[in-house]
Amino acid sequence: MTKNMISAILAIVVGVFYFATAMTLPAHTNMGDIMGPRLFPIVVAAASVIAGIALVLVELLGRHRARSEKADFGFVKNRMVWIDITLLTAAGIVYGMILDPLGFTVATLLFMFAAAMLINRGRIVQNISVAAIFTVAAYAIFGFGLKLSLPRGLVENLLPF
Amino acid sequence: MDVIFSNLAIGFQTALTWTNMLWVFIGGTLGTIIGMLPGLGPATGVAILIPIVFGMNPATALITMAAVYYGAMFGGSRASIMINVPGDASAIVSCFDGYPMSRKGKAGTALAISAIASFIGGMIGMVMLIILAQPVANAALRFGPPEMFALLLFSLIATITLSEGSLLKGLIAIAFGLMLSTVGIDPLTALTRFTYGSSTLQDGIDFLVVIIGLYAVTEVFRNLRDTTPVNFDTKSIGKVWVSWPEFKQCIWPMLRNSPLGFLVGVLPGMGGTIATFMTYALEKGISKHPEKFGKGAIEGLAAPEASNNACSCGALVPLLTLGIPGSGTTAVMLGALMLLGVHPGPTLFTQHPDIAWGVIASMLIGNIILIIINLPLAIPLVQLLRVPQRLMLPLIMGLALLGAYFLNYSGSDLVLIMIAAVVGFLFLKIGIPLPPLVLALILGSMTEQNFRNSMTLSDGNPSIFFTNPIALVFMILAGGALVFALVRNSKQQAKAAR
Repeated sequence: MTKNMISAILAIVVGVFYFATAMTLPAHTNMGDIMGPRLFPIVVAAASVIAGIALVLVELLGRHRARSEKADFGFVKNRMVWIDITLLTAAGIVYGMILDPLGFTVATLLFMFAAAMLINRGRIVQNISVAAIFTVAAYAIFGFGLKLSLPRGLVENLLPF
Repeated sequence: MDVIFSNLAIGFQTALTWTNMLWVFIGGTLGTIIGMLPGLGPATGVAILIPIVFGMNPATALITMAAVYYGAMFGGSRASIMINVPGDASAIVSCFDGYPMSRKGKAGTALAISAIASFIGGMIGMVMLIILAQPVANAALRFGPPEMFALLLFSLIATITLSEGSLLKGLIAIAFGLMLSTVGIDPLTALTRFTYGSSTLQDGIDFLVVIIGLYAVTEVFRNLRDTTPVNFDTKSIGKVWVSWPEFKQCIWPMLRNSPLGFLVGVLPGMGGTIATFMTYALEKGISKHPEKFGKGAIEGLAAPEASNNACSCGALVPLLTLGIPGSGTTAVMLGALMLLGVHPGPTLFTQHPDIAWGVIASMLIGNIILIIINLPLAIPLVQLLRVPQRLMLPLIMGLALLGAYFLNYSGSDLVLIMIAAVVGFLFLKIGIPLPPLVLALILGSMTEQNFRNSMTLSDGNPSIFFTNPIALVFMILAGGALVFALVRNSKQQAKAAR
């Protein structure tokens, strides 16, 4: 499928779904706002659907060579990149989940080591250094320099400051 | 004139404190480095530095972010000149003649002229900003809801028509951005909208989190494949200096292209990329030796470099005077300022002249600091280009995620940032542009409120947008921008079909 076709279908599907949700909102409220909370979303949904339909028409009726190129996500060709992206995404989400329970130092060390290992394959010593330097530098800059309160865990509670 | 000088005096009082001078220096240096490193542009730079501005007062925060912005404009061309890889999109043109110059053993001259041109462009842009800011802000003070709505509509449409890419996909990006902006509690009726039962969505989608995801983490994803090692010989750079004949050759191109760059910057959606391409084409067109362009013509480097820095000053006009960002970087700056409780706009100049004029005065100082950093320190700075991407990317990722966490001290924001990054990456693959989406997300709530307030004023009659003279002008401009894009698109299609 071409890039334009995917974009168009996405715009139509999202637009219709958003429109359906907008229609469940009350049309008017008695708050001196005569347009109500749903008119603007309806206009936006309409714009999305209309742009999507127009894009489909351009794609189907336009001159052959003027059509957009085929979408190439490279799921097969660049398999490794997609695996990295998936793992990095998972690492980021896990980082958010462990920051508060484990504290800044442990969570950041773990996350940075994981991210560095994914991006900079094989160089374990280098990656441990990257993780350690980042964690210490970030602690110094954010915790001391900028006085932001960092999530405290086991390591932070052992520190005298 | 007197008013300008008294305003500048207020500005210098703010800018010349030790703290602010220090941050101009730090921000400018960080900006130069960020701009220099391929894959890291000014928008990403400001986005990952957001946590730094948290503890600051708003004036220092804005001064620091502006320093990062124009610092990046100074740094952008370093990589273009040394390794033929632009540091950001607006430095693409600097590759055309900058790299051939360094191949001829004139890297030192190229680095020097790019710093000098950046300085001159920045200074001319500053003078124009100083002259224009107050009148534009004064005019904008008289804007009511219909004028604001029409202006916002024009800004959004201009972003897609003046920038690259397909008009319809730009419209889709805007629609998606506006949809995201309506999630959460409706400010006018306190009704919850589009949260689908999720309590985390009640406060709305934090656009700064989305922006950090789209600009910083998506950039990391994009650069994952790039593992080319960088190599150049520092000894061949030579002296970072320009001879008098070479300087004379560039002075007019720098002077005439700076105002043009500034004007391009003022218009929404037109950024440094367009300014540099435009001025390069112009210089080549009027040159007596157009054949030298692309082979190391010094004017071919000086002109776009000057216009690029003037453009970044121009981009601050709509941000400071109207509260409407016209580019990715200024959008991030607006987001960070709103977080600190400052809403840029016409009232900024009356209610907080110290902030508005403080940042302007700091930019004058910053430009001088940057030329001092960039001439003698050019050679040590370009060494940073040797740091491989595979070491930079984890650091950018770490900074981005921490930045997002510090916004609300919420680990669940990291889920949002990762979703935004993956969606942004997929959008890039199918050609849906991200800047219009980001602008629509930021301006969405303002657009809707002004739309509804206008309609309430007119008892539901949409003709209010066409009977009010200022609103009408912006509506005509918005329509014109659409027609322009349609014509351009069909021309492109016809060309492709041939």
